[in-house]
Amino acid sequence: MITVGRLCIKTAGRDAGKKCVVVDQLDKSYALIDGETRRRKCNISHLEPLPQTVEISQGASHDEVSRVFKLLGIELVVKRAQPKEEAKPRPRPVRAQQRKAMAPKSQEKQKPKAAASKLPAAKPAVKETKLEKAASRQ
Amino acid sequence: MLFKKRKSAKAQCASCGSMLSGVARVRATQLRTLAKTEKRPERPYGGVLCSACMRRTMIARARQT
Repeated sequence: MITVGRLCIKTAGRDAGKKCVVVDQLDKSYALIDGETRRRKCNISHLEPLPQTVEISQGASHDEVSRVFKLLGIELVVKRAQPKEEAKPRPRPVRAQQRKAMAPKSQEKQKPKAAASKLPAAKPAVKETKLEKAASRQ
Repeated sequence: MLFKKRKSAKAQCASCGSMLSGVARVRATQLRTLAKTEKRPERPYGGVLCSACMRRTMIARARQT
């Protein structure tokens, strides 16, 4: 009953309930299956044969099997790890100091114009230290 | 004084009532810390049906169609 080309449903394991086709018979108890299941060796007692058979060559490649399944109306999708998208930086709470530093340049240009009149003309560049003050007094 | 909470009940198969394997017997607070794969076996009806009942279901479904 289990011959090359026989459609089966897998009854055990994580591929249970999926349709597969017997690609090759390796042993009296093992067969190579492919289809909606992973392409692997499988125990014949874990397969439930369906009344349908398909024409494939012994040891057919995955491409041939997927072509045959397309005729049956089943699309075989190969699960491959998708390249991860780079995580976008989350909006984080901004402190008041950081907000001032990050202020747009247009505001900075306006500020000196407005504040120029308010600021004193000359600011002492270096503060007199206590020692210097004492020395100048003496 | 350390008052320990009792262990959670054993998981049973929904159809035959046998004890399920692969289901962690921990309280809800610990269950939340576990990964999805650590809470049930990786097969259809994992954590619901025992493996024998699951196979019976799959065979019956295959024989229907």
